[in-house]
Amino acid sequence: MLKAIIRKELLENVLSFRFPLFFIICAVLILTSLYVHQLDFGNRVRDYNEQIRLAGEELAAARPTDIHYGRVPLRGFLPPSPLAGFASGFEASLPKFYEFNAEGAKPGDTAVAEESVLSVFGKLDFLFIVQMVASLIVLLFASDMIAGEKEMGTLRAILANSAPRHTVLLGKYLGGFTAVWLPFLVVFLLGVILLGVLSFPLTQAGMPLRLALIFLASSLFLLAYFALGLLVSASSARSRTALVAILLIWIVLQMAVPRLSDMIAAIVHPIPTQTVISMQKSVVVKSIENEKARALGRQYEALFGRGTPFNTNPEPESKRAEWDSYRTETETLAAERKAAQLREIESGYQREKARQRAIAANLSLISPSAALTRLLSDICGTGEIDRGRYLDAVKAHQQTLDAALYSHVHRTTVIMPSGGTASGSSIDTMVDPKTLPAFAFRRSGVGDALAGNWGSFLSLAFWLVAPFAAAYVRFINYDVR
Amino acid sequence: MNQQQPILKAEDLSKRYEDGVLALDHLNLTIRGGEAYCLLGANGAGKTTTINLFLNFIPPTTGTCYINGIDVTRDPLEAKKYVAFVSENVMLYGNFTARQNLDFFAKLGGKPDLTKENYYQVMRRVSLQEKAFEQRVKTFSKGMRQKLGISIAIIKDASAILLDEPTSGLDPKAAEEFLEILDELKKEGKAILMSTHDIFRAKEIGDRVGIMKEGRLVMERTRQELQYEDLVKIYIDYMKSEPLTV
Amino acid sequence: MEDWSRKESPVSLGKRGISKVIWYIANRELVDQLISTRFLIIVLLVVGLIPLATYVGLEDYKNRLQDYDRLVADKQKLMAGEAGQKVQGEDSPWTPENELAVFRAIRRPDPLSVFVRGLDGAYPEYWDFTPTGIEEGPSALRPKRLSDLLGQLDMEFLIRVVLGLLAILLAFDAVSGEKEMGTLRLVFSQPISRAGFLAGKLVAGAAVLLVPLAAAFLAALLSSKIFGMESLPPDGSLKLLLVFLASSLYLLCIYSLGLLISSLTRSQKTSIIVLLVIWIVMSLAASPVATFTAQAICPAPSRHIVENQKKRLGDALKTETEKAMGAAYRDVTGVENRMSYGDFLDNKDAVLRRIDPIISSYVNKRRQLLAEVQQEADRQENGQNRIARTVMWLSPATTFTNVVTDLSSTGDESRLAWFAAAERYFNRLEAVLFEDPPMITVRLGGMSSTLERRNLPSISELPMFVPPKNQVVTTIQRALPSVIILMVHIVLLIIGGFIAFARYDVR
Repeated sequence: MLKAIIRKELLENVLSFRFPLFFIICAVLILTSLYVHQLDFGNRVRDYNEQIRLAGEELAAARPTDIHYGRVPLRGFLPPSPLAGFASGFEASLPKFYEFNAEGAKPGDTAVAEESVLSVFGKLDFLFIVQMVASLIVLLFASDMIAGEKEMGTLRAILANSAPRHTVLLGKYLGGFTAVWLPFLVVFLLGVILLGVLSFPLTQAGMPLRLALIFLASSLFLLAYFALGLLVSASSARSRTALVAILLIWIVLQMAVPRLSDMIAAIVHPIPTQTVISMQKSVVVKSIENEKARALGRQYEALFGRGTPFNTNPEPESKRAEWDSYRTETETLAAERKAAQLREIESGYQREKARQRAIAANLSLISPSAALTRLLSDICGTGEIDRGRYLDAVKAHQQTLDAALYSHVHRTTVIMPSGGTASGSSIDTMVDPKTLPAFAFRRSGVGDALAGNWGSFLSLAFWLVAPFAAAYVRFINYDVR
Repeated sequence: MNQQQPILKAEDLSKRYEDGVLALDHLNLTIRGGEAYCLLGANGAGKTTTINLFLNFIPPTTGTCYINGIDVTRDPLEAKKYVAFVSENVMLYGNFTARQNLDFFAKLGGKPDLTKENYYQVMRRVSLQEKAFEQRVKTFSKGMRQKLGISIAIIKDASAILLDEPTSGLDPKAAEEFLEILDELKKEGKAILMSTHDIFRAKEIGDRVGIMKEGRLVMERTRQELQYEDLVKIYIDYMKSEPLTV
Repeated sequence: MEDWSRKESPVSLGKRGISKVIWYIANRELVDQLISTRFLIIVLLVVGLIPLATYVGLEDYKNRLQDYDRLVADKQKLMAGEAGQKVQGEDSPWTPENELAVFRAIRRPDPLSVFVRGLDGAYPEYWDFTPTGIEEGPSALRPKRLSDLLGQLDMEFLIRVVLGLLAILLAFDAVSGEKEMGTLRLVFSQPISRAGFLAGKLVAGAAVLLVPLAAAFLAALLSSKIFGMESLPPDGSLKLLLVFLASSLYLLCIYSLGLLISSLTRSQKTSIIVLLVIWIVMSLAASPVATFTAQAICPAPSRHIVENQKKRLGDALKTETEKAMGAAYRDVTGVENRMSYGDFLDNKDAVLRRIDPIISSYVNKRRQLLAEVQQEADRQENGQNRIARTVMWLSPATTFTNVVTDLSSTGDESRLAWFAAAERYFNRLEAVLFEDPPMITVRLGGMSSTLERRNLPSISELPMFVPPKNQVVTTIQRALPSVIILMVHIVLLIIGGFIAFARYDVR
């Protein structure tokens, strides 16, 4: 019985306009976007290699003092992610490189800075197509399955037999979805082949697994929406009502909820802007530097007499040792204080940001599309996990450089009690730049992505099971007359 | 209204569709005021096509339709002033009440100044329940919708009424009531063209009955003739006989 | 029996008759739509989401305004006090970073960005002008969350997406729905022309869509007042009114599209599916396709790459010049192995006499070089922008976004205007300050020293940044081409609709 129903549903949908329509839309959109993104990836890889090469040349040609003083910055580059075509995530908005110098790590330019106003439409990647286009189409097809059959009169005919209702529903579910899933599968495979032709690193470690997971997660997502469509259909007397209901639900789930969660988080847990934070920091830095400079100035005049112009190697030599020790002590203390206070400000800010983000993330999981977004972008290495890792790597590298290089650079500014400011810099040990470690960034593994997304899994699981269960209940009582 | 004037006239009317099907083959028909003509025939015989041609929903391949002497193709807007249409199984505007539907079509038909009482009168005439007057049409049964449909036609007060399978799906009592109204309208001098499957009612109401087969009017009998012939037998014989075209 | 039947003979179909008939059709359609559930739900959705969107927009605006106030206060403090201090000693840079804030160009966030976010949050909050180039300050928006990349929930979005979908929902069954219900047959058995029928539908749709649009605007203004926004200047109010008008045009456009599709299909289901596919393509695919096409046809380097290129060229030239100046210094002072302030003071005039021509030739070379690079980049970028914009004109949704963001000065054109203004100011500063530098850096061997060439100009002598024009006239000019395109869309769609419906099978 069930098999017969599945076969009928499958055939009916395949032979109708839905099958070729869905196939064409998927094929055009997905293949085009994969193609475009792969080309873009090629460019970005070229850019990346070029940038690294240029940076290396710059470094080799630069004078070591320039490197020490930060006039020639050290750079760490973000390797482009090959899977960004599937889920672009944060890829375009992360700084392509960071510049390291004594003051800290400064982000370089990102691609987003040049976006036009229409980037508010969102990027056209595979995830987007599945979320926005495929989900809507799947919903539309499913919404017709019950109410439409009722209008045609065939539902009565089917239920006049000995097939129980739950069998009929299950048959519609499986058969109908298979009709929609097959074109999706075919297009995905075509896409993978296309990527292979375009020299996508298909055989890289973990890549086949990731691709399989991407496909699986997307299929589950579409299945969830299919179940939702069935639910709506089983709750509507006419397919016209089902249609309108579908659209409204889609708008709410796809568009309103993901943004709303963000907005609600911003309301519930507001945080200061970046400008405010950097202003706070610069106030702290200025005051500490000023204090230090004044202390140094006082000591300098005490040791070398009032009105003596500042010199990093002052006369008489006898007092130089005392001066140097005082200076080093003061500078170290000041540096520590500065670092501690800056750290406090920064970590406080990051804490608040993380809290707000967590609220938004949890709220957004209400929507299956948000769940899919997070899951896919993490699998593709362009999501929260890898972003966190990138920022952590930057921080770690800065610390390494601080310890190995910048701690040997001393910039002294003195404010003389008699008036006037002076500054000088010195390096206590010259470090060979070639011995400095290079910036290294390892992407997360598949396991990390899966482990970090249990919330998304829960959400998807909910959306798979709940609508189908609800559809079951509604269909049992559905008025087929 | 002059009862002798031909109000509905089809002259050499033919219709061939783009796919080559000859839906109507040289129909000649004249219906005068006070006369009811019933068209019988199998599905696809050409009954609905005839009516669609009269309403200028499709252009004829050859021939002309006249309503009140007006060429329907040449001056459709003028011609439509004089004809009312009762369609088969119309859902009407579901979110509106019976009266609101009636009001809308009355205005379109050229009677903008009618009052609520006028509408109620007409709806009573077709035996629509009082409580349904201000009820939304989407709650109506098929019979109620048909009644509303005929009241839309009545309120236009046109010289001719075209009906396409008006009694299909009506229970015998409702069909009987329906025919009584048609009879009244006929006696008021209107020309009535009705396509139907209902042989019995066709015999009752029709002053003339025509049988269409594959686009051609193959037989026509008047009421007097039918008193001596068994319409049912004739009809079924024609249905069973060989196809006219090879 | 009934006197109603004698009441009137059929109306004559003169001019008045036709318009009356259109009115009857329109009226019926209007009432039908207004009492439908879908209309109610969408209006509630929009009106419910607007306060939320306004609140968030307002909070964001207030934050950015605070930043602006602080930055301005900082700058004023600097200008009043410590700028232009001379710094003694070796290896001192000319002007420490803080003092450059004197030249800072600070952008005030536009109050209309509360309603139409556009790019307002993505602008740098200020621009700094350094001897080596323009540096952008941080922007308030660096996509921090994944949903940022999905777009923002502002009024523009609600109108474009939610009300746009409403327009589709109202239009899709306008013709095919009546056909399925059988009322189309009934209507056309009456003396009414096809054009009249469609005109009635059009009028009704326009009227129905104005209701939620007006409600949305009122809700937005009300919410912004309640949440404590300052009153809009008359300029701003006028712009908001223009945004309202542009939104009406857009909705009319979508509705006409719906009517056209409805008149091309026989079943409602087909209508809605076709419409949705078109709408998705038009809304979501148009912009990436446009950007991609523009980049493919006319590749242009990004602004940052150009700046970096200019900076590299400038730096290389500068180092070369500094070395040349060092050679001159050595020639004059005869000193080769040390650079001291004392030596310089002793020979100041001679040194400066030798150095001045080097500087002016450097200045000229630099200006020429950088101008070339910038012009080429500008040419390419303008070409690309033009192509992208033209492709985007194919879609009413993207055209609408362009119009609305242009009117509220949060769009592409305003952003480009700010960049251009920053460029212009930088050129002026260069002319006054950097081309006749008061302090110069001289390189000799491995040493470098900064020497004073002339007195630093006082702050009052320096040119100040002039922000680009933001009056209504300017914004209208920017938005005008897109508005015209929208109107063209509407006209074409309406004509298409009439043609399609003339051939429609009403049986």
